[in-house]
Amino acid sequence: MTAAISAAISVLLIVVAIAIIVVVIRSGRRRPTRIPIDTRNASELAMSTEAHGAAGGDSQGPTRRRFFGFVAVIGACIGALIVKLWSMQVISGAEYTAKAEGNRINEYTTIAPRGRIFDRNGVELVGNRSTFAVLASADVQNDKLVLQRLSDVLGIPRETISSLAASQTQGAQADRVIALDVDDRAVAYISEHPNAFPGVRIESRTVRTYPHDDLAAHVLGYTGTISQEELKREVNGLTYESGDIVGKDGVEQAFESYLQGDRGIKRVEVNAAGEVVNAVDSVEPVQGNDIRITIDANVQKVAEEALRRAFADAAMSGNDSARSGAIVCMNCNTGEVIAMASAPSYNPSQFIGGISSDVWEEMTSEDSAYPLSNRCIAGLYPAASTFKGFTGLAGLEYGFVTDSSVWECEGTWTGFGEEWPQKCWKTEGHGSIGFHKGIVESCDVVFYEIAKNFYQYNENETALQDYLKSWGFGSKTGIELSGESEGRVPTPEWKKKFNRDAPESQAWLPGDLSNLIIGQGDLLVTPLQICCGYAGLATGRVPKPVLLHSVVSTDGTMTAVDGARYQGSIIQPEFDQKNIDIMRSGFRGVVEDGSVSGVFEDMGITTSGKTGTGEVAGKDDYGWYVGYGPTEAPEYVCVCCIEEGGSGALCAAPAVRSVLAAAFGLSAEHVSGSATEER
Amino acid sequence: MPQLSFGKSPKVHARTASSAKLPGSGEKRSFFIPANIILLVLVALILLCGIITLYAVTRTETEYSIMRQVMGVGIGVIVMVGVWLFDYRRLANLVIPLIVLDVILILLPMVPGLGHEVNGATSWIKIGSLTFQPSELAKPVTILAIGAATAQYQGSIVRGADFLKLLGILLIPFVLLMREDLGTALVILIVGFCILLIGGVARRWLIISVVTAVVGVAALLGLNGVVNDWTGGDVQLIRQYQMSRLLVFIDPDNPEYADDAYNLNQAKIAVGSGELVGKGWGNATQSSGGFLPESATDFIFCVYAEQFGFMGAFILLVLYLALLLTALGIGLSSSDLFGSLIAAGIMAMWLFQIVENIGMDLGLMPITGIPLPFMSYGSSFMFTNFICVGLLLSVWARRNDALG
Repeated sequence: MTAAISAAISVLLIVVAIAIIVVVIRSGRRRPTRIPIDTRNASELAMSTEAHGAAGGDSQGPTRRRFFGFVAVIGACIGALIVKLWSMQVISGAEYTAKAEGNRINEYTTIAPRGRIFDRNGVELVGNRSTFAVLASADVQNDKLVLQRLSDVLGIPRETISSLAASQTQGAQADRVIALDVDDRAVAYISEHPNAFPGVRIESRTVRTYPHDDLAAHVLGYTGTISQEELKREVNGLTYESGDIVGKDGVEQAFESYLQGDRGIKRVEVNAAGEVVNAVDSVEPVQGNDIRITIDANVQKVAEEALRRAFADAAMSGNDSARSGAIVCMNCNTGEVIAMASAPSYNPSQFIGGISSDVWEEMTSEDSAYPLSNRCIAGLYPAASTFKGFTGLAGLEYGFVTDSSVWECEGTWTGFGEEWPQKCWKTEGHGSIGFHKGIVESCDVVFYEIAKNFYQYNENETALQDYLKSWGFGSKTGIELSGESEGRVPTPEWKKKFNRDAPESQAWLPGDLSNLIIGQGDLLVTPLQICCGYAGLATGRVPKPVLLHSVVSTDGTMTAVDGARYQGSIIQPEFDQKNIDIMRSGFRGVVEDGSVSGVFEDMGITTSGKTGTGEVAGKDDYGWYVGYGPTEAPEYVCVCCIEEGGSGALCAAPAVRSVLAAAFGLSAEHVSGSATEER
Repeated sequence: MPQLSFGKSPKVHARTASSAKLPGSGEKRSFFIPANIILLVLVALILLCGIITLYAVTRTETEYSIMRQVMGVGIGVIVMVGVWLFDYRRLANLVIPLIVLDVILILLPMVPGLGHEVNGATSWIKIGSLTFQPSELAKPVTILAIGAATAQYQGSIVRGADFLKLLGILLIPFVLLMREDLGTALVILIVGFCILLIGGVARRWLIISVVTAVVGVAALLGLNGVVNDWTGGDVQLIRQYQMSRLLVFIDPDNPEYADDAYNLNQAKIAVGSGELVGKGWGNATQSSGGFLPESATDFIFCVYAEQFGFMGAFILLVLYLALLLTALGIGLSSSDLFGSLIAAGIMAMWLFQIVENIGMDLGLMPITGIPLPFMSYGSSFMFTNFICVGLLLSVWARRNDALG
């Protein structure tokens, strides 16, 4: 009702009230209303009325005045009440109504399940499962009886429950999750004895399930309760509430905006005791979108198994501290990552309901070799001889080397002077050697010669580094996952800055270049960078790696990720077709005639590749292998790096063979012991 | 307004101060005793508002019984008729017996075996399953006692000794009641004061006593703290809940008085959320949800105002206004000062209770346990109010009579 109408009604009411008051007051006065027809008495009546008035005036005059004074008092009191009522009910009525509704209606949100995660073929990698959570208000921490009962029912120590209830991480106001995945017996007991558990409630929740346990753990990541910082950030236009479960790592975090559902709203009518009287209405929660990622579960399985076999192979060749490594396999044309394995690994289900601090400490200790780290994107290694693919091409591009160049390898190279001897991995020397064979046998001397040319190149001090950077080194590949490392391509400028506290180490020395050219020294790359780089060598374009395959909306329609996304982000480095062909024939030679020819024998397709064995001070050598196939029209590229695995040909190449075979749907049997030791 | 009281010929009206009996005055004692129909209609309408509201409350609060209330009204009506037929003027000279009766009524709950504690105050007696609050009955008895004593001064109390004597009569029930039931004690004090005022107390005594009362209250509040400190809270001049209710009125946001602040807040929400036309009968969510405490007794107006909005509340207040003015009119009409003072006392009692009860719901007055006449649940209170109506009718019926 509009204010005008209500004002009019009130004015009318006041007029009526005044009328009533007047009537009532007048009725108090004696008035001969019914004058009898009997005229005989008329004069007597008139006389008597007059007489009373006079008499009343005599004895009750002051009393009458005081009575009428009371009329003013009554009027003022009732008037004040009416004015206050008007102000409360009509002017501020809506405010009070809102408060009354606030009293009566409890609104709370219901948690929406997250979207599920499938592999590229629709194999479920992360699912949902309904379970019950026990929540407690902050007051519970002070209630010893309730704590003890909870402890008995849930089988959790009282101190743990108390500290969980006191925890502020989920927000100061929100109820705290005390236990998730509570068994039915405990749920039934708590819900049937509400009086014994004040401040405790049971809520149904969905939690993540991992049908393949720790498969692709690093890619999938894990979920956890939103932190206070994340709550403030409100990324992706999503509004979070404290207690929300959000992606903390991997795909769960990268595609949070798809996976996160919309909370539902439930409105119930409650009484003063907080008991629900009836439900008013509700908006159902909307589950987050399911997504498909580019990972192929089968290839992923093979990759993880291949890592384990690689460690065994390494141990067989005497490198028994090998237990960490990474394998990435991707489509060389589109950048779709079909396998990404990192060892050691972890089981993301450990994070359901919050990870215990013991487990967390164990996972982040040095002894654990950091299982949470995704070495494919965060591991920084010397690229070793795999880098010769790029430095060799750089030498060809700058004309410092040609197909017909021939050098003499004596095992030790003194091109930068006798005081700076550089050794080839083959200490007895390769003898007379051309560029092709230099790649196949990975002769360091050949590349030292190229380094010398770059060192003597006056036009651009960092010509080599610039060229390497144009292939993506020294910067993130741009995969959707967080935690990716940039790597490092050392330059004179970098060295000066890096050693700013040690002036004696600031000078850019010839040895820095000859180390860089064989992928050693200060160079650092991630396995994913090598993978992308070789995809570039194989196809001529460096793809941006991607993990998102498609998004399945809640109505079931699948939205494929736009193909243009791959195209737009591809790096197109400069090279001469003739030169890259020289490189490719070298990579083919590695598989056909080189140290790994036995590994890739009878694989079913022809592949090309490059080995690498990195030297890390104080540790066993790091073994690399990167390969792609089919050689004629490359589709997949795969890289493997085994920390302290020794020769890449021995430990890494068999792993790459298995993964590539799996990617092509071939028999992924593990071939070990067929390689000859080589760098 | 038609003259609603007729027994006989218009000669009845003829009455003079000299009380010269006119011919035919012997016929006055008729079978029909005149009733003030307006008064009865107003009381009936307000009762109706109360019953309607109570009915809505009983749908969720089973501790209240509509039958009990109707029975209270029934008994009240019978008592009212009895009082109405009784000539109040016979009490005019019984000041001492009235005071004795008053004191007995007030002290009755302290008799061992009779006393019954409700909400921490022993102001109830219990006989069998029947509970009764005798201090309620003390209200009309006090009105009669003070009225009778004051009337003897013929409307002019000038001497200090006379004033002090009347004040003494007033302070007896007040002091006796103060500890157990401050609300009723305050009603009696205010009512007594109004009777003295209309009874012709000289202005100077009035001013002196008001000043004394203010100083006295201030001293009491101050002394309360001192005594509490001395005795470690064993002796409390003012009970903690009384203090808290007073302080929450002054300082509503102080968390120390959160319980009383809650009640006040819920009462205001109930009234305010009624808005202009109310939520409709039976839709008082503040009371049915249990947010509003004492919804049938102290806070019944809130339930009424929540259901019927400003329009309903306005109508009820107009009814009360009319009731008060009718009582005032009856007082004016009385041929003798005693009758006028009885009516004035009753009017003052109702006025104070209405203003205090509704005022506290609106946050204008501190929260007390003073019920709303003809609305609040409780048979003792209903009983008292019907005695008052009976007294008014008795005064009205005999407005033209000389004593006889």
